[in-house]
Amino acid sequence: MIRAINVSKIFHGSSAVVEVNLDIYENEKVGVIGVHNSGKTVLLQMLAGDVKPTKGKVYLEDKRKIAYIPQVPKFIPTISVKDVMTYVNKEYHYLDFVGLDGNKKVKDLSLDEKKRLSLALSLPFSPNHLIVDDMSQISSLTKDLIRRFKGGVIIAHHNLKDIWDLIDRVIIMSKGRVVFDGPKSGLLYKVIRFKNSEIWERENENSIEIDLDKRGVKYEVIRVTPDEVFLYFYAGI
Amino acid sequence: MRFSYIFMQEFKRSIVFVFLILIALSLSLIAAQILSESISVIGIVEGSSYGIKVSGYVFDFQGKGVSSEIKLSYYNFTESVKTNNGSFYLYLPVAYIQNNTRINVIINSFQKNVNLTLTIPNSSTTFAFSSLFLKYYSSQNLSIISVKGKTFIAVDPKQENSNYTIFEINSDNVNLPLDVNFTYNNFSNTLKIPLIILLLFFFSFIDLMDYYLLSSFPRGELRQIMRLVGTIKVYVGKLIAEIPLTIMLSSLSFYLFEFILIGNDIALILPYMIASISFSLGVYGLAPFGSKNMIYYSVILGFYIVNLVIYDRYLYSLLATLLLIVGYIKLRIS
Repeated sequence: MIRAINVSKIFHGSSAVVEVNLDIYENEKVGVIGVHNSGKTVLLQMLAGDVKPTKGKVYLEDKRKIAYIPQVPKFIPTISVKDVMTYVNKEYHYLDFVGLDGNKKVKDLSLDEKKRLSLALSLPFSPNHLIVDDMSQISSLTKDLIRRFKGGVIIAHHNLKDIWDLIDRVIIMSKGRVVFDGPKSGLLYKVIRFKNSEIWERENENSIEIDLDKRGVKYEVIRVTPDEVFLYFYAGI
Repeated sequence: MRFSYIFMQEFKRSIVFVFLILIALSLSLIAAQILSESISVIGIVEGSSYGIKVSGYVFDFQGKGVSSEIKLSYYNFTESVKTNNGSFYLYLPVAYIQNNTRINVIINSFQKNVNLTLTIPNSSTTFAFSSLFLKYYSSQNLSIISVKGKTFIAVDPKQENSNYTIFEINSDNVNLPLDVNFTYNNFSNTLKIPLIILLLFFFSFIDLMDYYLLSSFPRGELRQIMRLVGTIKVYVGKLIAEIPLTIMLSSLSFYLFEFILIGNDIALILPYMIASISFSLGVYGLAPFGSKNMIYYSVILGFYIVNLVIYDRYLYSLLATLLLIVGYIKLRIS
């Protein structure tokens, strides 16, 4: 389990993360959602044990038991993928497992391939958690690897659409604070439009429709995506 | 086990820079060849009412006599002589007027032309000139030049009661032929200058190599590896992999230089070898501060080390270096 207790991070006087409390279990698939500069990356770096919080504590068993895939993984560009792996281990079969050509030079790798190389480096340590910072330019192969990962998964991304099928729980961050933490079903809404008004209602509830039916008001129900819910309710908080 | 993997990987990367060793060796070879073309001359002049007598020996850095033509001129009177073995004796039958009247001794040889203007304060004096020497001392009644494995001494015949004698000795363990107030510190050493120039070249080679090899620290290219195998293993593994190259770069090149010019005298080049290894270690420590900063700060470090090699005034050097850094930090902060 990764536990964050009252964690804050301040850079040059400005707060990147503010008093975050989290418990993430080994079987959980968590999506950390937020707009640009909401504090997702810093929170993930703290959860991975790479950055120390300014205030609060992050409890984790062993850094090596957390496979961390940064937003932009960096490796020595002039050496081969196999050479990068050699720094850590000589178990090259992990490169085949993540679908990488060991003889390819790092400078010739795409961002997606670099992310897979990051994963391959951690696999010999049998990680319990996988932390992925940003899913942009991710291939279906990488997505599949994340899906098949046996252990807790934490994915940071700027929208829900790209990671919806990979997660069960959603944490929404805004201005460094956690503004939503719950199952992804908590972000399923519908919009009921009538006359010149609209009401947002949870998808599994229908009290508004019953009330409008009783009053004889005509209305229409519009399905909204979780991303629209995220932007409507949480993004600007 | 992983430590050896890191070492091997880094060693493989640093092997690319073997060409720098070859360039360093070539530089040493060229410098040594140019310098071994130097000539030295040592001798005695006697001026009296009977005439002016000059005797001496012209030799190269190996101590071998150099064939040359020696010309003595005093006002409009000149006398010249040719020598094949370096030894010469000239007599100009003119009355010498004492008290700082000058005479000119011109030595023309294949390697170099030397023009010496000598003043004879009393009736006689010794003189010495050398474009490259290991040890040099010259005064009125004693002149000493040490070159590769040989030391030549000229003494005033009036004081030593010997007749225009130039001594040659082959060992440091020798009693000087004259009782003069002389200590080892009176010697100067021209080899310091080419050695310092070579040292500066090697500093720049180390900087070049480190910019390529160590930039991976500030660029974060090893961060993930350090996260998994530990910072200390990567830091030390990389350092140990780089050290053989640095040692080869400095020791081989300095040794070649010294071997061609002087022979087997490690003591002379040891401070320079230690200086370049110290520089390499220092630059390694600066690497995490950023690739460009590493190069900028290495200039200060290089200045500090060269200062120590030349003057051995470590407290002044340390103070000056600290003030330089303080000024820079102040500018950055304000």
